[in-house]
Amino acid sequence: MLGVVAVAFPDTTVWAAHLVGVKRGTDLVLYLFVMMFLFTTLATYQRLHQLEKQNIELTRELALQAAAPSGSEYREGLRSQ
Amino acid sequence: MATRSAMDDVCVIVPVFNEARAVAGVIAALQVEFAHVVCVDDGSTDGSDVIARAAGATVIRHAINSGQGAALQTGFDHALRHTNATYVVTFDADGQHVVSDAVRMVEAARSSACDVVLASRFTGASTKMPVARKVVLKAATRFTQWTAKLEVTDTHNGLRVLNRNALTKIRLTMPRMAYASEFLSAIVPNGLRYVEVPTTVNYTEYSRAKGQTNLNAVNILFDLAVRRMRAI
Repeated sequence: MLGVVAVAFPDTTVWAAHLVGVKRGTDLVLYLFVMMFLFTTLATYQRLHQLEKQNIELTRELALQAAAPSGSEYREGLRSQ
Repeated sequence: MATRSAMDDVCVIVPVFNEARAVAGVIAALQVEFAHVVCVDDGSTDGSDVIARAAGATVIRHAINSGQGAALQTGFDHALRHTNATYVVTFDADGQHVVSDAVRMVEAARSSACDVVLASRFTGASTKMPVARKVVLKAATRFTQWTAKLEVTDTHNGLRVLNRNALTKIRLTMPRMAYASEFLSAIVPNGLRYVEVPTTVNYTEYSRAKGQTNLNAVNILFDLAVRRMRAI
């Protein structure tokens, strides 16, 4: 929406820039883009990290269940405690 | 097999990722001393899991590659859930460790009542360690001594012994190789007692080609820094 307005009426960006003390409208657009980019990068990184963790938990659970088909009763023949 | 029955309460965990050439030999060597060898195959694509199973190890297979720390944690969970093991040994699959070192470390765990036994290649006699590797590992050790408040001399040795108490308290979540520092950082806050035992690392042509590059230290530092920031 804002993009459409900015393209149709370029002067609005200049007006908005002056509001916050920036000289040129294109500069304001650049600053906004940089901020958005940084924010998105961080958010994506966090999300990726979380997904990676979930992935590992899933993989582990699958692997452990396959290794012990008869459920939690399964015990290897180790000396009892 | 006197030692085998004496080591009946020990579960050896061997994390494996594409080690088809070495894994059978390592398992065979371990089975001389240890009755329970568990291979955690971290999604190998070279048939390591089949070879390990044929060699007589219990094989737990990750469907997708999840990193060595994740593989070890799977082994820990297996030991806790599915076995009565009193001690768990972690042992690399590339043949760089010596089985008799593992035996000595378990004996050290029994006699010292420590929760964690760590191996050090710097107080032992390691064969042909490359100079660059020595520098990187020394730096890593300084770093860990500083961050984990731990008096150890070798922080990235794949040979470790943990008892059940340590297993319930340590949980590895870090990606890639940073889990080694994560492991050590968990010792002091959890009130675990530890001791370090001198061991040997064999730097063979094979283990060098397969092992970590020195540059990976940068990746490890990055992973640790991010975790620091997230913790605040």
